[in-house]
Amino acid sequence: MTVFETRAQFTPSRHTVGQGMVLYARQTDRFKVGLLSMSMAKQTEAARVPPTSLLLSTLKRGTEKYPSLAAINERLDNLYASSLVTRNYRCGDRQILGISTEFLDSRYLNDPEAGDILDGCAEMMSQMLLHPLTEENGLLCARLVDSEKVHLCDSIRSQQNNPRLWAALRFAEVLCANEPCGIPLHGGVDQIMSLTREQLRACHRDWLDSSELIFFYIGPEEPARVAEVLCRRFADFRPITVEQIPPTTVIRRADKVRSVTEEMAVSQGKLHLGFRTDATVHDPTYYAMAMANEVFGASPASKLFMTVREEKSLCYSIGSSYDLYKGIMKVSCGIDPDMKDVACEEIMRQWDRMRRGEITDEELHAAKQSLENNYRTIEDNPHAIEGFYYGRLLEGVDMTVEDCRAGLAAVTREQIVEAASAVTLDTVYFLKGTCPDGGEEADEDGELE
Amino acid sequence: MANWNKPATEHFESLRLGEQYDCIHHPSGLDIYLFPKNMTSTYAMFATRYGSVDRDFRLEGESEEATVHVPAGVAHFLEHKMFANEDGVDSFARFSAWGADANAYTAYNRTVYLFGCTEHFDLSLTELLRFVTHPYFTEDSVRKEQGIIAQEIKMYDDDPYERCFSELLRCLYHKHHVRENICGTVDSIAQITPQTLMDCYRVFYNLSNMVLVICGNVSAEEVIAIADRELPVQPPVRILREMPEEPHTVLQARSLVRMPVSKPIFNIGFKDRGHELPAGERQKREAAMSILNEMLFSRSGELYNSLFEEGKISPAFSYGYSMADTFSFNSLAGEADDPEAVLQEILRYLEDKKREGLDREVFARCRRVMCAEYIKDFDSTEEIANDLLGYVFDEGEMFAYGELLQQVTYEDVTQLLHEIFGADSLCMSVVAPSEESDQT
Repeated sequence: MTVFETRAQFTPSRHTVGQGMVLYARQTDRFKVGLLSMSMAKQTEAARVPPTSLLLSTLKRGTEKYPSLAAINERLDNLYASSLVTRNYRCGDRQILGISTEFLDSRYLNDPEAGDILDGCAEMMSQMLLHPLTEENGLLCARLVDSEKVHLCDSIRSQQNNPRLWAALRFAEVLCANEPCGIPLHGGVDQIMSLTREQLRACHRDWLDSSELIFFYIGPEEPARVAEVLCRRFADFRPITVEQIPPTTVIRRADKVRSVTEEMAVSQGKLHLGFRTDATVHDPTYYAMAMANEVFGASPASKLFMTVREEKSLCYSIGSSYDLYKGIMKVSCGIDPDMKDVACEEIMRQWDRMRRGEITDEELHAAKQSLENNYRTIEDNPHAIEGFYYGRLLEGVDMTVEDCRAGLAAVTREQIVEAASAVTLDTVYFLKGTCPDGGEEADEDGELE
Repeated sequence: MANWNKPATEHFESLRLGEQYDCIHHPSGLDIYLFPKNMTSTYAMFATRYGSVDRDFRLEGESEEATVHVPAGVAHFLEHKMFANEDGVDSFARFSAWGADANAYTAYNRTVYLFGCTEHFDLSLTELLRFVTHPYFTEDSVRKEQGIIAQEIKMYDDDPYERCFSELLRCLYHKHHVRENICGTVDSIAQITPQTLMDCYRVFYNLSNMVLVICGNVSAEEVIAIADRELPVQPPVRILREMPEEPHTVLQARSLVRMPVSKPIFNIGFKDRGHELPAGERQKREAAMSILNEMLFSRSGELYNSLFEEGKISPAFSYGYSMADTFSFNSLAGEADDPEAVLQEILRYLEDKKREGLDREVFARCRRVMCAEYIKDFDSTEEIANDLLGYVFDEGEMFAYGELLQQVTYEDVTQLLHEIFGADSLCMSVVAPSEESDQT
């Protein structure tokens, strides 16, 4: 039986691809599937959000060379089931627009005619970003724009279908109402519907003219070859300037607690609490805060899980999370709609124990082990490697996974108490279920009207 | 290790993938599957062939009167309660102390306890084997769990996608327990006592009915030494499971539930009889079905693109074939303003294909796609362990499946096309917006 050596660190190396284009690459034969992604970032601004969402949706519908969804998907099939996804998400106050592809290492294909899959995926990405399907006047194809308006609005409306996700979205909007990250990810339905193709063209130009293109590659190829492929495929990317993005805004203390209750015709209530922690990835208290969150609610051995769920039987799902860029800690749980106050009190009682330093050696040890496990596992997942380094890159934080592990391992109980003492409750959001017995039962005959 | 007596072992290898694993027949009666993998994390799953559909059972040799009948949701309830220990320490806390990420889940035909870790594998594996082989249930802890699981049930009830799928199964099946939710209902779990849990535990948690699957950077010596220490030698048992007789037709062709959704959600199911085939044939059918589904319903196919370009369905559209030892069905899921019209279009398309025949080029492309998808699954210890467990419980073999995919012929998928999509095996479940909800 083979026993393998421990792995060396997985920090990607930096390579210049061209003007405004940088590649972060890690050559490894650890995976059968390689990752190649591109991302651009801008400050989240209300006016830019809706056209960016619609632009991205439209870009993936057709390109000059692959003019339909069928043509795009057939090409991906022929690249041995390569996958391609567009990404539109937030990191701190930044809005990220990107495309990522995953593709098989050709050594496993057993097909001498397989061709250059890396190059094929890079071509597909550049087609989408730089050469979308346009009409004679240079505007995006009207049919695709109109169709994507409908899909995007459908998808905005369907956010309400899943009460758990809906509550989390509404909570984030309420908590960060006056911050860039509180702007809804896609904007509103009316804003989307009223967008013109000229606005989309301007938005497209805005992204291409003033953003840096960051590529990540994790796979078996030499970084120099990946850079060469990207340089060739993205030769038409020529930004005029690279816009500086302001630092993510951080509210360090909440002056008073905001309480918002909304209703939905479901059986369970969703309770969310938002805290300002006074600690971001830039602060010396960052590691202690990450540890505090872990002890408090991030694992099945945490205070919240052990008391609110196991001891009090108030919920099935409960947990806390810590946003290291915004310095926000969020707690969420699904409870009986009548138990809001009881659950709130219990959560705050557990937080008080954190502030008083009622943390056992076992809890401290378990939290350290758990975070150590989480950060070591990053090496096993190309997306996790990218996520760790890209987020820190955007924030200008020079930190490797190993730095992070060492920082967490050194945290003391006193430091956790100090970090916890600076935390203030900002928002209590409750999505109240108004149908204790759930939705309607199925019709007996089940016939549709 | 000089004096090491290696138990009987079967070796499986794929030269093409550069992967291998062993099945170790441990003297305790447990089969241990060990898949070495060059990753930082190691993943272990201890599973029993016992799921939500096992409701009426006894051991071979016991009288018919000894047959145990349990309410819906017991397997899942038992899974929750296994983490409690006599010394009062919850097993989750022990796993946490070693940095392991532990969890468990219950499916229709299995219950699985698992952990992933990067360090102290020996301690976590010891705990996994120990807590699953040491049941401890009290009246008080059972009562507490009823409150927790009631919230879990409500969480799923409020989710229209879950609801739509569970309605599909309720309508596809007349009597088979797959039509009931894995968690049971608030009423059914209220009937559970410590004795109910013990009755089920005694029958299904015999090592001969269980497997241990491990994927990661560990040696057989290490695993076997822990198994030797922790596992008692158990005489194998044979479990007699009574399954209600299930007609081949569907119970109900349509179901409609109203919930606060923005647009109708639909699940379409075709009830199959593939599970009645012998084990080897079943695996081949799954391989062929995966290619046929890809040909008919994928994003590069003509059906999806015509429905999508005409605005009849939302972009998200999924499909898959499910097979266990006592049931099998093919299903499609999506969102549409008029699900009935979409269904009729799908049925017309299937009839056209049956009449005109499938496209040979599309077949070749889709077979290549499914072969590539199969290889992609070998990059994560979690995924490999999960897949391997699936193959073991379905009496298949992981590497053989890759070969089977390549051997599927155009004629195989054509035959399936004619077999699977019969009119009397069809059901559609729809969750539509509540009448009072705002549709603007």
